This record gives sequence, C-alpha cells and structure tokens, in this order.
Amino acid sequence: MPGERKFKLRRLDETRWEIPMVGGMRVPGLIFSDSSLLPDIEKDNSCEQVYNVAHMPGIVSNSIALPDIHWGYGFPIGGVAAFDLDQGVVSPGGVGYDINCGVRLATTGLAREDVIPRIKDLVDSLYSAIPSGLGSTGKIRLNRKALSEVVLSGAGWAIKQGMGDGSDLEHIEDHGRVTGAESKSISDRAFERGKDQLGTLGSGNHFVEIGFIDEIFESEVAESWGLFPGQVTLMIHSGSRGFGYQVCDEFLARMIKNMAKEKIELPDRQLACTRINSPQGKEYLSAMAGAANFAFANRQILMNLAKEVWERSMGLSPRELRLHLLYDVSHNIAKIEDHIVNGKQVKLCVHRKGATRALPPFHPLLPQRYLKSGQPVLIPGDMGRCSFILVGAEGAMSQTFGSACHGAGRVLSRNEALKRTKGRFIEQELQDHNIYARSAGRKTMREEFPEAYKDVSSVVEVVHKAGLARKVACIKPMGVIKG
Amino acid sequence: MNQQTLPWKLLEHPADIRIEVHGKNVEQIFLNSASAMTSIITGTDEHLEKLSVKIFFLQSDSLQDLLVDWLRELLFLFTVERFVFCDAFLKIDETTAIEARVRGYFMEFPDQFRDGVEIKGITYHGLLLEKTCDGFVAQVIFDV
Repeated sequence: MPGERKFKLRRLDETRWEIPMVGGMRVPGLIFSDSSLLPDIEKDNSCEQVYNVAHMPGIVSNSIALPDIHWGYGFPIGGVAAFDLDQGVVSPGGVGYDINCGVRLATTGLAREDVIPRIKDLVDSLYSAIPSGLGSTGKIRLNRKALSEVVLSGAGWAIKQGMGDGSDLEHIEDHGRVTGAESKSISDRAFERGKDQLGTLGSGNHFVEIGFIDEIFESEVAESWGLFPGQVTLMIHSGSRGFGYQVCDEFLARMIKNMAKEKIELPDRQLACTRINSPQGKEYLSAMAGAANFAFANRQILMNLAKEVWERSMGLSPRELRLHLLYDVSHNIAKIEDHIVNGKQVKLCVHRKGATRALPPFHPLLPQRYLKSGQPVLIPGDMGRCSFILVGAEGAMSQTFGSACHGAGRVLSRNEALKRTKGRFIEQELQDHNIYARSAGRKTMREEFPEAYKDVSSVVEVVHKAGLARKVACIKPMGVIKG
Repeated sequence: MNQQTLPWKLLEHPADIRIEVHGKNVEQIFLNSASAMTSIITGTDEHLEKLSVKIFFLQSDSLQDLLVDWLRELLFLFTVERFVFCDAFLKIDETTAIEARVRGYFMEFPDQFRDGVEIKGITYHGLLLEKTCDGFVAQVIFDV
C-alpha cells in the first residue's frame, strides 16, 4: 500500500486522470483508466511511479500511464515517457530488463472446428519442441561472431537461415530490426548469457497460445487484414532473454554511478539515466537496439518452430496451414521518433515500458499493408479469458506519443496468486472451459491463473473510449504453453 | 520453502518479487540475501553437496550497491555457469568492497528446478539496507 502521497489525482473525464504538477515535477502525470480499474491502481505504488517519472530531465508533455498500469521498478509497467533529445535522458529502467519483450500474432487458414479435435496433440507437440521454463536452452548455439550478426540483423537473420519468409519483415515493427546496434556496445557477459537462449520462450508470463477469433468489432479492418470469425491464430509472447537482461543490468549499474557526476537527482534510483546525447546514452541506445534485435530474431525463430511442429502434428502442408504473420510489436523499448509537440514536429526519445506502439492510418512508419487501416495493436489478456486485436488511432498520436496498453496488467502478486489457488488444479479448471494448457514451471499455472490479472476487456475498453486504438477483434484461447 | 525458519520473507509486490532479509551483521545480510535469491530461483532450500568454489572480489560506491552487485554476480554465475550458491565466506571491507569465497554446485540438467522462478535482474527500486536495534535489515526487489 502506498504511504502518504505528495500529490492528488484529479479526474479529467471518463478515461483520464491527472497528477497536477507539484514539487519537482517537470510535467503533469496523465493516467488512462476508468472508475472500475482505478481502485486496483490505487492499491499499489504505480501512481507514485508516474509522479516520479515526471521529475526526469527533459521529459515532454506528460508522464503517461495506460490502463494496464501496475507497480514496476522505477517506471510503472504500462508507462510511457518521451524526452527531448538535447536536454532529455534515456533510462534503462524505463525500458526494462526484458528489452523488446513483445508479442506477435499469426493467422492461419484453419477454422476452430479443424483444430478442436487435435488441440491436445498440438499443444503437447509444441510443448515438447519449444524450449520453455527456467534454465531452458535452445538448439541454436552461436559463437560471438555469429551472435553479433543476429544483434545487427534482428528477425532478418532468422529468415536468412530459412526460418520464415522474407515478407514477414514487413509485418514486424521496424521491419524486425532496430537501427544503430553495434556489437562493440555489448559486453562479453551479455553474449555469454544469451549464447544458448535464441529460440527459447522463457518463463513466467511468456507464452505460446493457440486461439480463435471469437468476435469481430470492425469488419472492414478485419477483412482487410484477412481475419474471419472462428479463424485459428497463434500468439507468441517472449523477449530478449538473458541477453537483454544483462544489457539492462550493466547499463543501469553504470548509470547509477554516473548520476552524481551528471548532477541528476531523482526520487528513485531505479530511474537512473543519462543524457541521450552523452557517449553513455548513445552506447546504451546502441546496446539496447542489439538486444531488441535479439528479441525480434527470437520471436521469428519461435514462430517458425511452431509452424513446423503444427504442420507435422496435424499433417498439413504449408499451404493448408497458411500461417501468416499479422504483426509483431515491442513492449519494452526506447525509440527516437517524430512527434508533434505544441504544434511543432520534434524528435523525441519515447520510452515504452509495458506499452505498445499504436500508429494511426497514414503514419509514415507504417508498412504499405497497414497504411490505410493503421497498425494492428495486439493486446494479450490472461490465459482463461480473451485477447484483443486493435487498430492504432489518431488519439494515440495526440495523447500518448503513439502508444496503447500492452496487456491486462497483474492485479495479484505471485505470492497472493499461490495462496488463492492452494489446492486448485488450474489446468483442469481451464480444460473445463475447453482450454488445454501446459507449463514448464510447476507453480506457473497457479501464479498465472486468470484472476491474477485485470479483465483485459475493461482495460481495452478504456483504450478504445480514449481514442488511442479501436477494437477490431477478440481472440479466445484454445491451447496454451506457459514458460 | 518453510518461511517460519528462514531469516527472510516475501513481501507483497504485484508484478515482481520483493524480499525482506534480517541478519545480526552485514555479512549475514549478504549471506541471507543470497540464500533467499537461491531459494527463489531454484524453488528449494535443499541442496546438493557443495563441491565447487568460486572466488571473486567486488567493489561498489556504497554498502547498498555492494549488496546489489553481490547478488548480480551470483545471478550471473547461476544463469551462465549453472552454479548454485550454497554458502560463502565473506570479507566485507568497511562499506564498499567484498572478497567472497562461495561454495556451491553446478546444476545437473537444465530444467532441474521446475519450482524455480527466473530472476531477470536485481533492481535498485525500494532498495534498503539499514541498522536496526538488534542487527540489520535489507529489502530487495527482483524483476521476474
């Protein structure tokens, strides 16, 4: 529970609350929520973290929180903050340990009825083939030179090795490669920690999910993206694994030591940062880009692995399965982007920590396929209820630096989740709702049980009403693999 | 994990893992924090015979940062070398340096600890290390 607050929340309208500027805040806080979600947000320290981020040098407009906000470390999870390139800072804690943790969604040519009778075999086959859980290692072992290629090329590296189709790149944020990566910015320890983790899912809330489209909200957009009711989908949630964790860890420790020299004073040391245009700032952005590319490659490899297993398990040809990548989005990242501030176009360093980019129609960074519609925004929920596909809307550019939420957001601690599920068999409960789930970790199912998360439908409703992104389709799970 | 008998406990945190550790002196805080982290990442307090030894030296700007650096080093050894901390002989120099002789063992197979939780990093958020009337207390949040 938070202690005595130095600020008061002020309701602006149905979906927005403000933390007016007090003390050392350089900008106000802006929280997207509604009266049903706000009590959960107020239970922990996440509003304090929005307030803390507002103190950072060079922050522009607002310290923003999206409706899946919850207490993180330094930045809240579900936080967005943009910084001026001259005066502003870059913060590894504002990106997170799991750099470019993200989600990709692929559609298939299959209908729900085609997969239901085979779902157990399919999930079991995927579970056996995809390395998941603590300490898992992949089949791809690369030396530093080869791993440097991954770091420079991102998803394109995997495609070059035959793991995917060249057209996939158009359906990945930044075409699966953040520019500016240099392997010299990345330590030997990061290479060591990542050397056997390409093509691994990870643990905790990372997952592979087979689902189906349960409801379509905007048929025109859905049709243009090739979505249809009952269509079977594949969703993958993973990131840069130990490689990214190590990059964050090392730069954070280095920046903490430098804060006094740079005369930056902040309410929380985890917000440790450095000027964007300093040598250390540039070095971090370069290393972060490398870790982001590792993550893009990782999700590309995982999708290809799932595709091969799926075809084998159900005896389908690639033409019959028709697995096509809809989009791949980053959740934890800092990017140099153009935005309009006070009527002027400026370059900013936008930190998204547990947030998804949500570009509206005709944004110059959109691939041709999504130019007219806007970007697919993928919002996974918990493993028992549903997930959403949204489309980026203009309101995101004017309010959140082109961002929307990234998920449902936890509402129970892992410990509390274990207490509440004592004696329960979550796999069976899910199976009673026609969801077949497996996990590598023995406690994962209970820690990740659906009620540990906010209802993603409520979270997405706020995003929709606030005009950040619009609902296109709802996906229900059929089979889940958790780390 | 029987928390009744342990010199550390879990505190509530919605997304990550937050621990509170007690010790009579700074060395005990460091040892108990390492035991707590090991218990979390392995999911057990029962460990194999301590067959291997790691020796290292760390220097930091403050005692709090030294605690983070100590745990970072042990986490790295676990994730890369699969080395599991069991106990250690520590020499902590005033406030900012540690000479550690760590005893442990190597994981036998990659998914040996199916009750364990993957720790991504040791955070500085809410970091606490202070003297109490009967010793020391520390609080650390792990990103998981």
